[in-house]
Amino acid sequence: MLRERLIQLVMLLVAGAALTGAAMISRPIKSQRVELKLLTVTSDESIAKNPRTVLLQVAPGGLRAPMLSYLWMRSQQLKEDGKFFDAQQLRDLICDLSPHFPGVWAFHAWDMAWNISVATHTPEERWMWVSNGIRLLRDRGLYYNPDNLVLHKELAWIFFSKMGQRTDDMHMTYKRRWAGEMHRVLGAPPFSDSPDTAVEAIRLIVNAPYTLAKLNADAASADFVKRLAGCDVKPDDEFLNYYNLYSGAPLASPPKWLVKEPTDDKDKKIANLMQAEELSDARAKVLAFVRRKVLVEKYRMNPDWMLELMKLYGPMDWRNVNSHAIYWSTLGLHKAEGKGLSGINALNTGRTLLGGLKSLTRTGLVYCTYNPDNPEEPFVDFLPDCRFVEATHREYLKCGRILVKKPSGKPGRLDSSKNMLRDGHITFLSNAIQQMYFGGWEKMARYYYDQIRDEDVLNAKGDIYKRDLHGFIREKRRQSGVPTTEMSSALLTAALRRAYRALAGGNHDDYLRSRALARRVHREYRKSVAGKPRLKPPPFRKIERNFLGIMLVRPRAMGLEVPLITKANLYNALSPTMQQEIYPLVAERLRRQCQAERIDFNTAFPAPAKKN
Amino acid sequence: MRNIWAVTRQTFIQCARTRIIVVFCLLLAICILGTGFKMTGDGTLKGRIQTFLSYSTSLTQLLLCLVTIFLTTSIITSDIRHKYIFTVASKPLARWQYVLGRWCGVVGLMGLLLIIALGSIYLLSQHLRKQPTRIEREAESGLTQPKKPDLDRLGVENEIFTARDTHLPEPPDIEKVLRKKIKQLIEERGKDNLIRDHINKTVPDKAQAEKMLSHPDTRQQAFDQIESALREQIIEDAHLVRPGKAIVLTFTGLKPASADESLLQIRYKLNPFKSGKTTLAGAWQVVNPDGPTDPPMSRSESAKTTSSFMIAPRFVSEEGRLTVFYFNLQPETIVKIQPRDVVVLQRVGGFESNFARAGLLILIRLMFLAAVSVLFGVFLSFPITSLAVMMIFTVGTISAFLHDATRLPRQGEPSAFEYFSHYLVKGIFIAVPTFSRTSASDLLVDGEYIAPKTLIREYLVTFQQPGTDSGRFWKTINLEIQTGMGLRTLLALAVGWLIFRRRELAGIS
Repeated sequence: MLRERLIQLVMLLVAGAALTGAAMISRPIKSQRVELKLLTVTSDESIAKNPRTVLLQVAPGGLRAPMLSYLWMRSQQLKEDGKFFDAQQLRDLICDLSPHFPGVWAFHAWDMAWNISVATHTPEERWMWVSNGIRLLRDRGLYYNPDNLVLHKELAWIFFSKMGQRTDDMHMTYKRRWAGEMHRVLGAPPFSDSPDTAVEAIRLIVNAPYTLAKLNADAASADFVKRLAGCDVKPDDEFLNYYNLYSGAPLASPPKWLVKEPTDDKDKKIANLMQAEELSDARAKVLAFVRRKVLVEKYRMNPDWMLELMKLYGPMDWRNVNSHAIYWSTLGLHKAEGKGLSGINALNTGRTLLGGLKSLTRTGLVYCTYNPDNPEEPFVDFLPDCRFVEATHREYLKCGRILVKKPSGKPGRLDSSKNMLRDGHITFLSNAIQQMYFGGWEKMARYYYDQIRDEDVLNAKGDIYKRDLHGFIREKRRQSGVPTTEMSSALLTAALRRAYRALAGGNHDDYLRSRALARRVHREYRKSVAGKPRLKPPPFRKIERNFLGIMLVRPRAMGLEVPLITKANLYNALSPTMQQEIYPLVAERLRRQCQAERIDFNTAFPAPAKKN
Repeated sequence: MRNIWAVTRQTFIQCARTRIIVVFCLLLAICILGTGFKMTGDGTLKGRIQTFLSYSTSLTQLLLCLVTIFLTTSIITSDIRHKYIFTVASKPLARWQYVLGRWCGVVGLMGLLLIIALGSIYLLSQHLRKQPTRIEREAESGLTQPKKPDLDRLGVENEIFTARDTHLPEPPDIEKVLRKKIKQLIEERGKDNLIRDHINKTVPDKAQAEKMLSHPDTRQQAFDQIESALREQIIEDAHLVRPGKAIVLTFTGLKPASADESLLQIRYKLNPFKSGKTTLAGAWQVVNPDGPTDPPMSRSESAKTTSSFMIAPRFVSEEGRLTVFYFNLQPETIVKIQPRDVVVLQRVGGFESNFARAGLLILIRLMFLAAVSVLFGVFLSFPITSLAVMMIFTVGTISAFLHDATRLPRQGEPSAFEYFSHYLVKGIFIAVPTFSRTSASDLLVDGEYIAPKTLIREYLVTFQQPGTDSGRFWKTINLEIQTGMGLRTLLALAVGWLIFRRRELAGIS
C-alpha cells in the first residue's frame, strides 16, 4: 500500500513538474511566434472563423504529427501511382492541420500546379490542377497567412512561369481559361492608345461601393437592385452572367447575332433590364459594384492595388496572366515588408516583375472571342503592346541604379560592370525599337534608341549604334539574314494581320495605324524595286483583298488560327466596298463552315448591299 | 454442434447488446454517409466515386477491425476475470466448443454488420453513378453542345463499375540473343579463358582457383554463372528504350473484340535514367497484329508517375493478342520500362460480383483478428490482449512499408543491422499476414478483378511456380506456397484452444 502511494506521489510530482515546465516555456514560444510572424491577429481570426480548422488543430492532440506524416506519405504515394482522385482533399487536410506553416501550402500548391497537372493528358484536367494550385494558395493559404511573402511569390510564379511562359505544352489552355474568367468579370478594357482610358475603367470599380447597403444609398441603384430581385437575380456573380449575355456591351458580350432571344418570361424581363437605355446609369453602378465584389470575394484581389499598378506600369489587361504575376509579386512585398510601389523592384521580386513587364510588351494586347462550344475557354489572341516598353525600361533603369550605387550612397554609372542587367536591357530595347519602328511608333523608337546610345544612360558601344535609327534598323534586319523581298512581305503581312485582328476585336485606332503601316511598307518596297519590274508587287488593294480572303477561308496557310466568330466579326466590321469585293471569294467556303458549326450563315455573314 | 450453436447465439446476442457496438454502428453510418455526400474528390464524377469507395470501404474495414478486436477481447477476458467462465465450464461443454462458439458469435455479428455496411456503400455508389458529369450538366442546361466522348463518364463506367483483369507483357524472347552473345564471347576469348577469368574474379586465393579450374563440375558451374549474368544483362537491356528508339510489348490471353466490347486501359510508368527529368516526350502506338493500327499518339509524360490511356477493343486480335509500341522521343534520356510497369486492363466481370468478393476479403481479415483476440484473450488480461492484437493489426497494415524499409540494399554489402532488421521483419510475417497485399478498397477503386485465386490464397493456400520476386528458399525447391489469413486463423484458434485447455481456471488457495 505504502509503495503504491509512493509511486502515485512520484508520478504526481513528475506531472506537476512537466506542467510547470510547459507553462514556463509557453510564453517564450508565443513571443517567438509573434517575432517570426507565425502568429498574427488576422490569421488567428481567420482560423477562429473556420470550425473545421480549429477542430483539426485540437482534436488529434499528440497524434497530429504522425497523422500529418501519414497523410503526406499517402499523398505522395497516390501521386506516384497516378491516382489523383483524392489529391486535392488530402492536400487540403494536410494544410488544415498546419495552417500557419507557409511551406506546406506552397509545396502542395506547387505539387498540384506543376507535378500533378503534367501527369494528366486532357486540357480540362490540366487546367483543373493548375487552378487547384492557385485556389489553394490564394483562397486558403493566403487567408490564413495574409502577410506571407513566400505564398505571394509562389502564386505569382504560377501565373508567370506555369501559365505565362511556354514550358508547358498546354500553356495556351491556361491562358485562354484565365482570359475567359477575367473577361467574364471585367470585360475587355476600352481600346485606346492612351493608357488613361483603361485606368479609368478600373477606377470605376475602385470607386464602387463596398457594401450592398452603400450601393442602396443611391436611389437609382437601389431601384435597379430591387428590379433585379424581382427577377430572382442577386447583385453578385449571377448578375455578371446575365449582363454579359444580354446587355450587348461591346466589351463584354458575345456578338449579338450569337445570343439567342430569351424565351421564358424571367429571361425576357432580365434582358429588358440589361438593355433598357433609361437604366444605363444605375446598371453601370451596379455593374461596378458587382465587379468589385467578385474581384474581392472570389479572386481575393484588391482593386486599389490593381489601380496603383496600372497607374505605375501602364494599362494592364487583367485577362493577361502576366498582369496577375506582377500583381501578386508586388502585393507580397507590400504586405510582408510594408513596401510601397516605389520600394518594390525587379530585384526584390525575383524575375517576376521584370519578366512580367517584358511579357506584357510582347503579349499585352489581348483580343478575346466568344467560343460557343466552350464559353469558359474563349479564343484569345495576344499581340505586342508597346505601351509597356516605358515601364519595362524604367524598371531596368531603377534596378540598374540600385546595382551600381556606390557604398557611399552616391549614384554610379549605368554602364559599369556592376549593372548585370545592362546587356539584357540593351537587347530588350533593341527588340522593342524594331517592334515600335515597324508598328508605326517611330518617334518612340527614336527616343529609346537615344536611350541606348546616351552616355549617361546605357552608353552602348559598337558600330551598329553609331548609325541613325534607319541605319540601325537596316543593320538589324541585315543581321537577321532575311532578303529584302521576304522581309517586306513578312512586314506587310504582319501589319495587315494586326490591323484586321484589331478590326475584328473592335480596336479601330490600332486598325488604322497598322493598316497605314502596311501601306507604307508597300509604298517603300515599290519604290525600292522601281527599276526591277519582275519584283514589282501587285497594288495594295489587291494584296489586302487576297490577305482578307486567306484570313477568312484558309488562315492556317498563314499560320493563324481564326475561329469562325472572329471571322464573322471581321467580315461585319469591313467597309461595304471591301465586303462587296470579298464576299464572292469567301461565301461558299464560309457557308460550309457555318453548316459544320451549326451557325446561321446569313446572320453571321450577311450579303453586302448591292453596288449602285 | 448444439453446444457451439448455443455459445455462438449467446455471444451474438451479448455482443449486439453492448454499447460499444451501438457507438461503432453510429460511427460507421456517419463515415459512410459523410464520405458519400461530403467528399467531392478531384471535382470529377469519377474522382468523387473513387474517393467515396476508397474512404468508405477503408473506414468500414478499420472500424470493423477495431470493434472485432475490442469485442472479442473483452468477452473472453471478462469471462475469465469476472469468473463467468465457471458457469460455462461446469456445463457439459468442451473447451474447444467454447472457443469456437465465442469466435463464431463475434464473426457472425461482424459479418452481418459488414453486409449492412457494404450494402449501404453499394447503394450509395449506384446513386453517385447516376449523377451527371460536368459535361452532362452543361448539356442539360443548354450551355454547351454535348461533347463526345465524355471522358468522365467513360472513366466511371470503364474504370470503376467493372472488374478488370491485369495482363502483363510477354517477357522478351532473349534465348536467341543469349546464344549469339555466348557464341561471340567464346569465339573472341575462348571458353577456358572465360571460365578462368570468372573464377579468378570470384576466388581471390590462387591455389583454390586452380583447384576449382581442374574440376569439371565447378567449371560448368562457373560457366552457368557467366550465362546467368549475361541473361540478366540482356533482360535489363531489353527494358531500356534509348532516345529515338522504340520498345515493343506484346500482350496475350486477352478477350477478342468479338467477346467483349468494353474499352481496355493501358497503364504505365516511365523511369528516366537522367535524374531530375520530370517530363518525358514520347509516343504510343497500339496495333492489332491482324488488323487495324492507329497512328502513334504523342504524349508528354510525367516521369515515375503512373499514367494511363484507354484503347478500343478492336485492337485485340481474334487470338487475343495486342501489340503496343512505345517510342522514346526525349533527346539524351534513356527510359527504362520494367515488365510490371506496363499493364493492360481488360474487363472480365461485373462490379457487383467483384464487390461481393471484396467483402469476403474484408471478412477474412475480421475472422483472423477475432481468432488472434481469442488466442491472446484465453491467457492474458484485457489491456495486454488488446495491445497485442492492435500491434499485430498495425504491423499487418503497414507491412508494405516495413518490407520496403528493411529491404537489403542491392549495392554494397549490407550492414549487420540491415541483415537483422530484414530477417526480423521476414520472421514476423511468417506469423502475421500482410494485410496490404490485397487491399479491397484499392482493388475496388481501380475496378480491378478480385480473382478466385486471390480468395483461395487468402482463405486457404495456393501453390505456384516461383517468380522473379520469390525468395531463395522457394526458388531452391522450385515451388512457392502462398497463404493468407485463413490458415493463420485456424492456427490461432487451435493454439488458443490448446492453451485454454491446459489453463487452470480456478486456482486452489
